Amino acid sequence: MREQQGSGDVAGRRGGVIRSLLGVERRLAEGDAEGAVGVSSGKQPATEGGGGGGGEERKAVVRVVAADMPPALQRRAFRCARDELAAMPHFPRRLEPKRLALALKKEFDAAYGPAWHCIVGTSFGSYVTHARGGFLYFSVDKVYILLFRTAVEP
Amino acid sequence: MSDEARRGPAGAAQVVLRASSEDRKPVGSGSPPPAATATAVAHKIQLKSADMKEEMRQEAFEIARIAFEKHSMEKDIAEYIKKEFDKNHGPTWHCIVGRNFGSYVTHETNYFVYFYIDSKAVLLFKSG
Repeated sequence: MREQQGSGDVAGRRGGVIRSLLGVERRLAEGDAEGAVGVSSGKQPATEGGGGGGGEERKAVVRVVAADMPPALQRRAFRCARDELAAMPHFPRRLEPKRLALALKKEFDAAYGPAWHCIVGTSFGSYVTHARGGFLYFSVDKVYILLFRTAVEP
Repeated sequence: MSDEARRGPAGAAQVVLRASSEDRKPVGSGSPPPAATATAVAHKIQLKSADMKEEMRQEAFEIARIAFEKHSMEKDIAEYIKKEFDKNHGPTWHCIVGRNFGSYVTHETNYFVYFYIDSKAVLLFKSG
């Protein structure tokens, strides 16, 4: 995943950092036809081979793609995301991106003050300006999560 | 349906919480594409949710059309749109483009739009 700093001509305020993330492009079986509108989340492909359903639950894999955030906050984001994902329907597995985005944003707004923003999905690109120390782009299994903070002007 | 709540300390700029998700059905319609010239390719736009004046919305649609003509990667499209808005309307704007995502953001009043252009969603808002 390539990370790119924005060009210098766009200055963020109060030490804002401009950050663009390489889009994660995944073809979904559903709604992939040209011109399709309102593509909904497709079923997640199976990540494990067939096996006894009774086996212990596998811990979700967290990978940091890019970060400008203190480790303690990162860990909090990982825990929150894992917990929310674990609580979502598993059979059939269904991602509820808005629910996860809401949970993360609310937790961070409450714990560290406004204003936080969260984007969750399997296929998106972004270009944002974030407050220094307030940026995290990570994945939990195949779900990508962008969490960033902006300064709130009085 | 977008969730909305107003919040912020007394005296602070009014900000609005708003979520968007690709699960929603299209709502309303964008302006019909302008008469196409021989070489222009019209992109179909469907407005999903907005807290933005009509004129600025139309500008967002037009800039998005240009971005889709110029770039193919989502992050480059997002970059083009954000930079145009930072330039035209002052910082700080944020843009997300993609086929599959949901979001929950805080934006300044009157500066939020979420729409589809062809099969991709575009989220554009001002905050900070």
